[in-house]
Amino acid sequence: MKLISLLVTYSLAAALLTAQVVGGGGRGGPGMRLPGMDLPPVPTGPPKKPGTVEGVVSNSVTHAPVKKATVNLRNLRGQYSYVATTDAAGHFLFDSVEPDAAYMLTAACPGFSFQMPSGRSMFSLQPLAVAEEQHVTGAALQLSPLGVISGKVLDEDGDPIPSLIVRALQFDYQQGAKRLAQRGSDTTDDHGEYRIFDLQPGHVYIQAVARPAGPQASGRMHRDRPDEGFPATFYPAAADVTSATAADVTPGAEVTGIDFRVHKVRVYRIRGTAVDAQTQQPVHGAGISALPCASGSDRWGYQTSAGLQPDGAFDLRGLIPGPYCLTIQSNQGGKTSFGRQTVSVADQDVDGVVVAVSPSFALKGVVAAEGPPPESFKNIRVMLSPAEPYGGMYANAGVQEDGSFVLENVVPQAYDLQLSSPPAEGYYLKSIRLGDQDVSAGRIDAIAGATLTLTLASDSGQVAVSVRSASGDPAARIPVIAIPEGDFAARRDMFRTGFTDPNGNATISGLPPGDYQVLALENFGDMNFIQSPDFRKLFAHQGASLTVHANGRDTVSVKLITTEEIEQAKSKLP
Amino acid sequence: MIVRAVSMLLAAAGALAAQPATVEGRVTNTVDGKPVREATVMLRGTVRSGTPPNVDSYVTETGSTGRFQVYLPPGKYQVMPSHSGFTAGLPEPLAGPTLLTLEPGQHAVLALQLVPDGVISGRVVDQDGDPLRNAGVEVLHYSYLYGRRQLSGVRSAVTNDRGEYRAYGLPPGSYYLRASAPPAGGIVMNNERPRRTQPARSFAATFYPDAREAAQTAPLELKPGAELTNVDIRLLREMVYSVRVKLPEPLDGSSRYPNITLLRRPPDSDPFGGYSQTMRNGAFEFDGVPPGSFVLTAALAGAVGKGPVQFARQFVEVTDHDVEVPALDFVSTIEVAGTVKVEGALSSPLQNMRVILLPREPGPDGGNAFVDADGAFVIHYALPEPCQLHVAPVPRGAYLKAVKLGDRVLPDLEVDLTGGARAITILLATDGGRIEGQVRNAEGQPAASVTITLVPDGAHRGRPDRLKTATTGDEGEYLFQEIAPGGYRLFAWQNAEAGAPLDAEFRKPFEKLSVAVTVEPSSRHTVPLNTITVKPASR
Repeated sequence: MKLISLLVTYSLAAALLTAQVVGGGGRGGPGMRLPGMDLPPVPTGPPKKPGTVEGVVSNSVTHAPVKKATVNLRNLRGQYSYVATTDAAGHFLFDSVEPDAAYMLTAACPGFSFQMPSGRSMFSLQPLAVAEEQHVTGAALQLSPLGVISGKVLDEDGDPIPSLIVRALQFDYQQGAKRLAQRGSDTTDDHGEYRIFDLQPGHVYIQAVARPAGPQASGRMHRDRPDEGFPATFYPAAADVTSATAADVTPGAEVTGIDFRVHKVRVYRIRGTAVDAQTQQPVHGAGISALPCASGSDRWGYQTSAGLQPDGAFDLRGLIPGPYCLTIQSNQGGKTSFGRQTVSVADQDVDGVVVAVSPSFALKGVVAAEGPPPESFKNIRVMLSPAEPYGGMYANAGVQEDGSFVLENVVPQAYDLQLSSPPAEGYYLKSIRLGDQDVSAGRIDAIAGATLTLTLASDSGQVAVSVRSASGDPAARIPVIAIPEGDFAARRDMFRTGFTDPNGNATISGLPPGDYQVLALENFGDMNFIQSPDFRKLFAHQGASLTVHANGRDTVSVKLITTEEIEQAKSKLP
Repeated sequence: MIVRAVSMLLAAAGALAAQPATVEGRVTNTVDGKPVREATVMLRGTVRSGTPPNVDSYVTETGSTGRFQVYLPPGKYQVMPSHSGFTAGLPEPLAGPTLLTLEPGQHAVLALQLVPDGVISGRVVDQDGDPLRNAGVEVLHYSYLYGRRQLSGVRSAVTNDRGEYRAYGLPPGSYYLRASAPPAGGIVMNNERPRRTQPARSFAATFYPDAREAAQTAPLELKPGAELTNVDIRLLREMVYSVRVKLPEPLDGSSRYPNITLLRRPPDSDPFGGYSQTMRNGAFEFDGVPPGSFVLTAALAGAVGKGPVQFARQFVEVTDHDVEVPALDFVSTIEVAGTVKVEGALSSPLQNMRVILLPREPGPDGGNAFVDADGAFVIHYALPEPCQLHVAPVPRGAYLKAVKLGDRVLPDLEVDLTGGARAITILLATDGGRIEGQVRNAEGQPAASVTITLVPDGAHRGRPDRLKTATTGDEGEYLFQEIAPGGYRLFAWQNAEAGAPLDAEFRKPFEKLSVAVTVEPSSRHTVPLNTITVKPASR
C-alpha cells in the first residue's frame, strides 16, 4: 500500500507545513517537529497575472499516456490546490495559476500508484515555481501500474466454493514488528473465482478464509455426521505462511491461474460458563465471541459468537482447530464488564471453560510537573489501549485544570499508556507510576483502587544532526529521527524527528533525557521499518548512538540511509 | 425452498411409543429435475422440550443421488432443505413451511425440491465506455418495509478493475439494478481548497439501463437458475456542488468537534448516503453533492457520554450552485421526568420496561429511560422536538391505555418537547379484551400459517401501537390478548406479500372482507375468519 503510505506521509507533511506557516498547533504525531523545507517568501504586492502549467502523465512501464488521471497542483503553503484531469493523450493543463514559487505536482489514477519524479522522497523535491504570466510546459509525471492476481478456489471434489474471502498479503513492518499485511481482498463468486487488483509489486501471498457457516438454528442440533468447515488456507495448500508460495507481482502484471483447493476439516465446539470474577455468580444478558488469535497475523479469521444462557452457559460452534481468544463484554445499566480467556481447540470439543468477567472501574490519576508547571493541563488526554491484541477495551480521559483525570470503564488487564499529544510546549512525560509502582516504560496492569501519577518535565535536550550522503555531500530536506533505546524503547511518544536544511543540518529538539539512536532516512515512509529493532541493527553504522542529558546540547553526524538500502535490507530479513 | 409434493406412507401401524420415526427422500433441482447432492435437510422440531425448554432439530445431508434418510423421535417438524446456490426461504406464492407430524415408527417419504438461484452480470462504464472499478451495484426489488412498499436491496456487488460485476445467489424475481461510482468518503483535515479547472461533475447513481429513477425503467425478470449477462450500466453524469457549514466555537471550550452528517431525503434515495468531508479553516465542507433535498445534522456529545447533547438540524436544497449553510442553531437535550401508572394489578414488575422517544426526522435518538419499580422514569437527554413515544416491552397482562404530556392526552403518541420539559404520564391498564378464533380457507379447511392483522378503527385509529399481527397454528387457530378497548378490524391473509398488511393503502381494497369487532373492557370474543386471497394483480 505504497500509495496510501505516500499519501499519509504527504498529508502529514502538509499538516506540518500548515503548522509552520500558520503557526497553529501541529496535528502531527507526538514529538513531531517542523520540517526544514525552505519555502521562498510569501509573494507580496499587488495581485499578479496568473501563469499556466501543463504536461503529460504516462505509464512508467509502457510509457503510454494515462488518460483520466487526476493531477493535483498543490500550493505547499497548504492553502489551496488546483485539480485537473488528463485527456486521451495524457495531457493536462492548469490555465490560471496564481504566481508563487511553492507548488508541487502529483498525479493519481485508479490502477496506478504515483511515482516521485527521479527521486524517492518528496522532501528531496524542489518546489515548482510559477512566475507571473509564465507558461510552465513539459511537466512529466509518471504513474506506476499496479498488479492483478486472479484464480479460483475449489473444494476437495473440485466444486467451486462461493463466498470465500480471498486475501492478498505482503510482509510489512508496522510499529517495529514484522507482520503480514493485507493489500487487497475479494470474495469468490458462484464459480469460486476471485480477482484482486491494485496490488503493489512484490511477493504476494494468497489466503482463502471461510466465514463461519452451517445451519445455525437455536436449540439443540442433532447431526448425523460431524460438523465440517473450511480452514484458512494459503496458496497452494498451506496452513501457515511459512509453507505458502508467494505470487510474484511486477508492475502492471496480471498473474492468472492462482487456483487452489481448500479441504474441509472437522470443526469443534467450545462450551463453558461465564461467571462474575468476584461473586462467582453466572453472567448472562451478554454475548461471547471467539476470535482466532495467535502471534503474527497470518491466523486471521472471522469471529464466532454465541449468547450467554440464563445460567451463564455458552456454546460456540463450528471452530476450526487452533487458538482462540474468547471475550465477553457486557453493558448493563451503563456499567461495563469484561472477560477474556484464551482456549486452544485441537481434535475434540472443549468443555468446561470458565470465563471470569470483571466489572470495570474508574482509574483515577493526576498529572504533575517537575519544576515549573506548564500554563495549563487542559489540552492533555490520557489514553489507555489494550496491550494484547484480539479484544479489549480502550479508555481515555481529559485532564482537568488541577491536573486530575478519571479513566472510566477500565478493566483489570494490561494497557499501554500514552498521551494524545505532547503534554505542553517543551514538556514530555517523564515518569508513570501506578500506586507505588514505577511503570515509566508505558505498560500498566490496571487494578482497581490504584492511582496513576504522571510526571511531566521540561528539561529536554536537543541534538544537532549533520547528514551526509555516501559521497560525503550534505543531504538536504531529509527527515531525521531519534528513537529511544533501552527502557523506553516502547514509548512511542518519545520519538522525535527533524528535517535537514539545504546544508544537511537538522535540529531535533524536545528530547527526553535517555539513550537514543539517530538515523536519517531518504524516504519518510520507511519510518515504519526503522522502528523495528532488527531492522535498525542493520543500519547502526550509518546512524549515531547518543545519550541525552537533562537540558543537554549534543552534535552527531550520520550517513543518509537510501531507499535502495532499505529495500535491500527488507529482502535480507526473514 | 419449495416443498412441492409431500407424500407419506404409513409403514407400521400401532408402533411402540419409543420407536423412532424415519424420514427419507430425495432433493431435486426444480429446473432440470437433477438430484441435488450435499444438500442440507433440517427437520426442525416445533415442540419445545427439555429443561431449559429447547427445540430439537435433526440435520442430515443428501448423498450423490440426492437421497437422504434420517431417524428421529416422533413429533411435529418443519422440513427445511437448503444448499448454497439455491434459494433459501420461501418464494411466493407458496404457503408456509411444510409441517410434518411423525407418529412412532412412521416412515415418511418426501420429495423435496430446491429452486436454483440466478445470476446477473455485466459491466459498469463511464460516459466513454471505459470501465469503472470499485463501483457499487445493487440488485433491488420492491418489498414492504415498515408498512410501505419500497425498493430494497437483495444483493450487492462491486466491480473489479475491468468494470465487471457478478451478482449471484439471486432467487427468481423482478429486479432493478442501480450502480453508483465508488464513494469518495473520508474526512480530509486540512485547509486546502481545491481550485478546479472545470466545473465539478460526478457520476450519478444510475438504474439499468440509463435512468435516474427506477420508475423510468422496466424490471429485469430473472427465471430460476438463469443467468442474465451483459447487463451493462453506463453511469450518468451530473453537476455536483459543495455544501459548507461554519463550525460553531466548541461549545464547552474543548477541542471537540460535532459529528456532522449530510443525508439525502428520503434516506433510501441514496445508495451510499455519505459525501466526502473536508474540514477547512474552521468550516466543514461536503464535496460532490448532487442537486436534491438533504438534511444536515450536527451532534456534539457531552463529555465522555455525560452531560446534554447539543444538536442541530438544517434542511438543505442543492440546486445549481454551492450552498453555504447559515449558522447552525444548536439545541440542548433536556431532562424529562415521567410516571407510569397502572390501573389494576400487574403480574410482572415494571422494571424491564423502557420508554423510548423516536424523532420524526433523522438525527440522534430522542432519548430513552428505564422505568423504576415504582413507575418513575427520567429521560436524561430528551430531544426537544416532536418524537414518537414507544413503550417496550409492555408488561404482560397490560396494554398502553393513554399517554399524557402535562395535562394533554396524546392521541397519536407524539410527544413534542419544543416548548420545554413537561411531565409525561403513561397509563397502563389491565382490563384488556381477548379475541380468538379459527381461520378457514376458501375450501372451508382450517388454514395454518396465515397472517392475521388486528387494525384499530375509529377514535384510536392513529395509535400505531394498537396494530397487531398474529399467525395461525396448525388448526388455523389464532389469539390476541390484552387488547385495548375500542373498535377494530380483523384481516386473515392467505397469501399477502410479507409486510404488506401493515400498509393502510394495501389493506383498503380488502376492508369489506375484514370483520369488525368492538372490544369492551375485559370482553372476550370468538371471531371465525375466512382467508382473504390477494390477486396477483394487486400485489
